[in-house]
Amino acid sequence: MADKPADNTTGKSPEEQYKAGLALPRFSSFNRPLTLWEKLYIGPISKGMGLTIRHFLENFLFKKRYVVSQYPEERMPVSARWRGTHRLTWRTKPDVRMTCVACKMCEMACPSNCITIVAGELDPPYYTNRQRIDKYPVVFDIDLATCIYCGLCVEACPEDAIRMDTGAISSVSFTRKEQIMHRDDLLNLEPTKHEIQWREHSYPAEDLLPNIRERYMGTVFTPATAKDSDTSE
Amino acid sequence: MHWSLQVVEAVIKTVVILFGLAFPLASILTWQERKQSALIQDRIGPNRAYIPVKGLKKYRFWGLLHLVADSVKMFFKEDFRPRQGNRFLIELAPILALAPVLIMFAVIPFGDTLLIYMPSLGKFYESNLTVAPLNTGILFIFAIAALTVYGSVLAGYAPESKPGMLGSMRASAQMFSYEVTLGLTLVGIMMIYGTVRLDDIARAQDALLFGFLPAWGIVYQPVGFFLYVAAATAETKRIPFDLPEGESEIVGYFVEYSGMKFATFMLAEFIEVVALSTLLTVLFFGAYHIPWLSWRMDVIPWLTGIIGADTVIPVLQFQAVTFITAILQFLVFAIKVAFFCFMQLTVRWTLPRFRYDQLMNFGWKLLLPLSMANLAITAVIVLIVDSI
Repeated sequence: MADKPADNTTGKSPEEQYKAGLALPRFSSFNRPLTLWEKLYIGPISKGMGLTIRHFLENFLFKKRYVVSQYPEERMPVSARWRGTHRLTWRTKPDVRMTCVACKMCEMACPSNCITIVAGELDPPYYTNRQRIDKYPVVFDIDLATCIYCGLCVEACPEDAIRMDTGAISSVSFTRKEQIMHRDDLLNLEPTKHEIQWREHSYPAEDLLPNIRERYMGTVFTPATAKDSDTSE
Repeated sequence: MHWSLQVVEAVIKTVVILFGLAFPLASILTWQERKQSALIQDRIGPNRAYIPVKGLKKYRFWGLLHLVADSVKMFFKEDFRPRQGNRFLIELAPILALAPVLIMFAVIPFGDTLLIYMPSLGKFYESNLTVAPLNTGILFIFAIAALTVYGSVLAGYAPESKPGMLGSMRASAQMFSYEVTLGLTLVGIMMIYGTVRLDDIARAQDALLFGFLPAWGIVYQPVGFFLYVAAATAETKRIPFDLPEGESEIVGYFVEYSGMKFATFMLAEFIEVVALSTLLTVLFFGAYHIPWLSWRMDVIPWLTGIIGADTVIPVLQFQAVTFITAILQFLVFAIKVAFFCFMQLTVRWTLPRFRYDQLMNFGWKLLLPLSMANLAITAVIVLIVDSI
């Protein structure tokens, strides 16, 4: 009764409703009869022609209104949190080796079973600052056609050996066989510029070596480097 | 003059107007339509195709090579034939769509007369720069343009396809409706110039009206110009009147065609654009004339002054002047035609498509009465001017 608002919109044109504050503005010609000038077509059409010709000339002469980019050559920067194609990381200390220890945690975590690992034995074993490593992956295949890019392998890895920071937004090939990434392909991928900048920001400068791969891929967490950036990883 | 020489003359003129104007412009239009729409919509458009030659830079020529790529693709595509329907009519439809458009160019004047010295006769032969300077002129164009409806009707009807049939029914209804207006708008032009010969109409536009206005058709018939553009756009089935081939509702009357036959329909459409532009140029925009610059009074004496400075043989000098004049006239004509092609493409990328009832209302209730009123007023004015 009293709380139900009265229907003020009946019997009023949309323009009157808008003026009375009862409706959203609708200036479309659907809501009113056409004026004589609009019925003659020529005026509105030449107005529209003027707009399109102006766009054409501005783009033709000065190339200034383009809203597109040339995709394979020019790429928009991807977000730093983008989960792209995987890569395997390298350790740098005491010397450059692949980080993966073939523990198969990622293979276990993978919901689509796209990771295949065959472990081999390191003889003699390899010593880092904190552990002894006995195994390495002889085969480390990721079938990108099957992968759902969920990132659980990255979460599961105890060694930070697999990451999804390449920033690749598409993986295309002519055959399905080419979609399988092998160990050496994965090791050769680079992180994005974002990732490099982020790591540069979070690691102390004196730890950084000149080579990009050695600087940013697979820094081992020694107590010295983990001191102030342990939580950020 | 011997008849075989006349055949040679006609063939040369046909080659000039078809392979010098119609086909190059139509094939460039297929590229231009994509590129221009891109620029209008703030995109870049086709710019990828290049010829892969080792050691050579990738030259892309603003995407012009897409033209070549498209045509090569069209030639090698499968020519799918629907199992049902009449085979003969299916094959005939693209030809019927393309041929009348090409025939229309027969009466288009692309230059003034060309005088050629015949040594065997010892005198000049006067060649009219029209393939067929028919006495029927505009009427011939109406007759031929009406034939294009058979192409679109057969294309939808012969393969027994329902969207195609719908498209061809729309096409036939639309084309028959707008032909009336199309005819009536040009009657005004016929009355003013007092002839239906297109080459005479073109020649008459050389004069000046009141001493300062070029006596072009658009000066005499501004309303008739707009009516003619609207009716002719409907006649060539282009946006905003592209109901017969509206891609977003029914694919169109050529839905069952693929490969080169489909390309023939597209080529016919683009040649229709060129044909409409040539007609606009001839009837309303002074054909090969430059405004305020008469060929006979200004340009030819000027050219004679330049070339004739130290020529020994006067016939040769005269011949050179006439040939250069003819080439310049053809260039002026081609530039005007290209400009109207540009304008037609701009219209196509500016206006949305009509609804079918709007199309019919526009044709019968607006264009037809306006063209009749235009005709009546023109008739009265012509009568008054003639009686003074």
